[in-house]
Amino acid sequence: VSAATEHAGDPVALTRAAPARRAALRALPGPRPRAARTPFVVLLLVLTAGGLLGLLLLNTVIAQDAFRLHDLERTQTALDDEETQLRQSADALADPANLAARAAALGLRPAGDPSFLLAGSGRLLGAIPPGVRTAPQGRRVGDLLLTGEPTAPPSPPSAPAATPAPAVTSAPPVTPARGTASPRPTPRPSARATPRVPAHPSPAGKRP
Amino acid sequence: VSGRPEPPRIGARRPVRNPSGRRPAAVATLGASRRRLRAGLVVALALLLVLTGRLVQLQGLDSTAYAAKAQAQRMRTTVLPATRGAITDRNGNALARDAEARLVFGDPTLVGDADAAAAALAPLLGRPQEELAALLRRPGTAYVPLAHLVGIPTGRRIVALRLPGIGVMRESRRDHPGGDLAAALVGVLGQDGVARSGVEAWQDPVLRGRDGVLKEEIDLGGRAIPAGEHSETPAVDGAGIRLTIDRDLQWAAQQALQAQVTASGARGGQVVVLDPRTGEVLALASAPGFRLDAPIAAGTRLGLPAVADSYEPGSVNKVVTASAALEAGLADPLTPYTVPPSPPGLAVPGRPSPVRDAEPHGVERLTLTGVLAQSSNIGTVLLAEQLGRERLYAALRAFGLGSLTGVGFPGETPGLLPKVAAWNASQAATIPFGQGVAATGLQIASVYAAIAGGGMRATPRLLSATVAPDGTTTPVPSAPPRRVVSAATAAAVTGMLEAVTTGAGTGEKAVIPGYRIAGKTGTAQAVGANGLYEPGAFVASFVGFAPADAPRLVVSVVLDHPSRGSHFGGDIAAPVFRQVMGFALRALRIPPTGSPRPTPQLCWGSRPGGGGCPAQ
Repeated sequence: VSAATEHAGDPVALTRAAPARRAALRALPGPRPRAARTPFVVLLLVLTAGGLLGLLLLNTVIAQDAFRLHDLERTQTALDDEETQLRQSADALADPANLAARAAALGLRPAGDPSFLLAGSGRLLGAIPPGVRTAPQGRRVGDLLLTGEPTAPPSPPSAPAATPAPAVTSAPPVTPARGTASPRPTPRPSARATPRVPAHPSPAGKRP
Repeated sequence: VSGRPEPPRIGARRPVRNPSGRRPAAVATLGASRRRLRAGLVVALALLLVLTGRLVQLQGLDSTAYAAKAQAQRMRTTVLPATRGAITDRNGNALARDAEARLVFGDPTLVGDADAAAAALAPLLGRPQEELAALLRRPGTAYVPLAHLVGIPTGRRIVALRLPGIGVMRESRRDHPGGDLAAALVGVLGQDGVARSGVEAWQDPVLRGRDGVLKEEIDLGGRAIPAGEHSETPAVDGAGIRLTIDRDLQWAAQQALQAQVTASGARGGQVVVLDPRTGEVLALASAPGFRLDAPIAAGTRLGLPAVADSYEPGSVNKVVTASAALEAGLADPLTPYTVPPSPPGLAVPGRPSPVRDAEPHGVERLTLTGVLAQSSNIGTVLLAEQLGRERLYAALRAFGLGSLTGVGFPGETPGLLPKVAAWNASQAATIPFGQGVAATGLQIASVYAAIAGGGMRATPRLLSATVAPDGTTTPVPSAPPRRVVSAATAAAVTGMLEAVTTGAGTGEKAVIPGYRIAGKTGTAQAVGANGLYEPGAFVASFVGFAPADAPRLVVSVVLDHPSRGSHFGGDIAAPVFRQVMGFALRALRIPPTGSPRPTPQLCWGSRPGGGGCPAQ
């Protein structure tokens, strides 16, 4: 709506107005242009909804993490418990007193005094276990527990050629002694490590 | 309508229409409104003043208190407990370590049927039903702890029972997989987490670690606010301690000792196993012991006898006298001594009664080796007279008697060695054979370790390394060894000690077939509570090492107040030595040296070259 049309609607004012006063006429401001309301409301709604939705999402994510944390903590607790239990039972099984008791229950006895067959010289050190016969000319017969050669200087190195190798005649398979710290490159085939604990009674009551 | 209409004012939406030209009669109303306004202003100002005052009070005057209250309401502080370091043997086998456990508690306000709950819990908790029922009926509380340190499986079973008002919480406990294994050494940790004895108390700063703190903002339901304030100081776990003890050896020592203490009716005993090359203590057994995995009875002695108790060593001390004489060049293993008959024994000026030997004999012609092998008190006194007090005292000090061993264990006693200036004639006569001095089991083992180590005394040690939580091992530094006697003297003394375990010596029962054993028996008179020798009370001991020509292990055995059968060290302590040493040699895979055993010369004049002495 323009000013001209407004004035045009007032014929009295037009006719009475002198030509000189026409210059004083000013354009009247019309009603301010009205912005369309709908887009603004929509924008606000979208912003609000978006914000809310974003917040919801954020909270969901955080809550999800919290749930996951909780789950993981529970798993950890369970695993900790399991580890503790397993360790405790392993400890109990490895405890010397328990081992001794179980060995005794299986009919095992303490090994008693060890015997040593020196791989280098064929000499027997220690108590001769019962059941082991001593053959003449330094030949020992029977099952012997070997633990290797001592680190002390052995008998003169020229001797071994003359010393007969200790032969274990009662046991058919012959394997090299394991764990033998012999300086010899070729292990003597006669020495046999018995895979079992020699079950001879402790010679506590017997004194050689 | 007369007159010009007013020009429309800029900005006016529509002209003011006032057709009558009169103003409304509102004068009276205007005055009332002004009064109302004033009244309203006063009221509002008054309210504002009150509010401002309150604000100043809250924000300005009491702000700290209220802020603290608010903080306390929404902040939760949780202590993150640090794991205490484990105590392990030299191979890493645990002797004491932290483990998860459960605390079972009840809420009497929620427990409906206390008797039913108690009946269900009693077999699981091992507590009498009536006791539990009484606890669950306690009025005025919502929390009653029913059982501490319950195992995890038991805790699970209790949860599965779904008893109303019964709950299970996590807590930490100290596990001792070995039970009574090295109990006095490992030590006791109270339920309050305070270390009471042993390595637990000694190495507490290393083992303890530092608790962490978690501070977080929580909502009304006690949940942490995800975006809230949150600060965490993580816990620093304690470091582990690796001892020099070997678990298997320790067990064998305890078994052998306990069996002999029972058999001989002794009050107690101790076994020390030492590596003479490094000074590492491989086993430290004492009887009577106690179990760490069970409640400890009131009055149980928690100390470590091998370092905390001293006793008169008796004849095992003769080795110091002999070493000093050899070191001074006064004697050699074949130096002849004519030992007067006992009884009557050897009269010592200034001493009311003559010095006697344990078993009656006539005149004996013994070499120094024979004096040691047959443990002749009189022969030792003759040797000590030759040596003089000063040199004997210096040797005793050099071997570590009368001073702390350097092991560092708390509560260690230096033993008792009177200053030489204070010795009276009687002490001068008896100290050479170990009466009138007192030493700990570890000190005596250390004396023999010095001989076994070729004259070098390695400081005994119990701590091998510390193990950080990340597994890094830091060895505990060891003190450098110190020379006590020359290698030649040590070798000569070893030869004489080896004669002790031959057929003619007192230590025959210590022999392990195949090995060369050097050692010494000791049978000392025991001192009673009144400070005087108790008639018929003895301390029997045996100390020795093997293999004699390449020593790897020193074993010291002490039996206190044996009351059944023989009281001689050679009869009751030597068999324990034999068992422990035999086990140790097997377990540590120490082979015999294979060298021939020399025939000792115990006597002179009668049978040249012969080993034994003529029968009296």
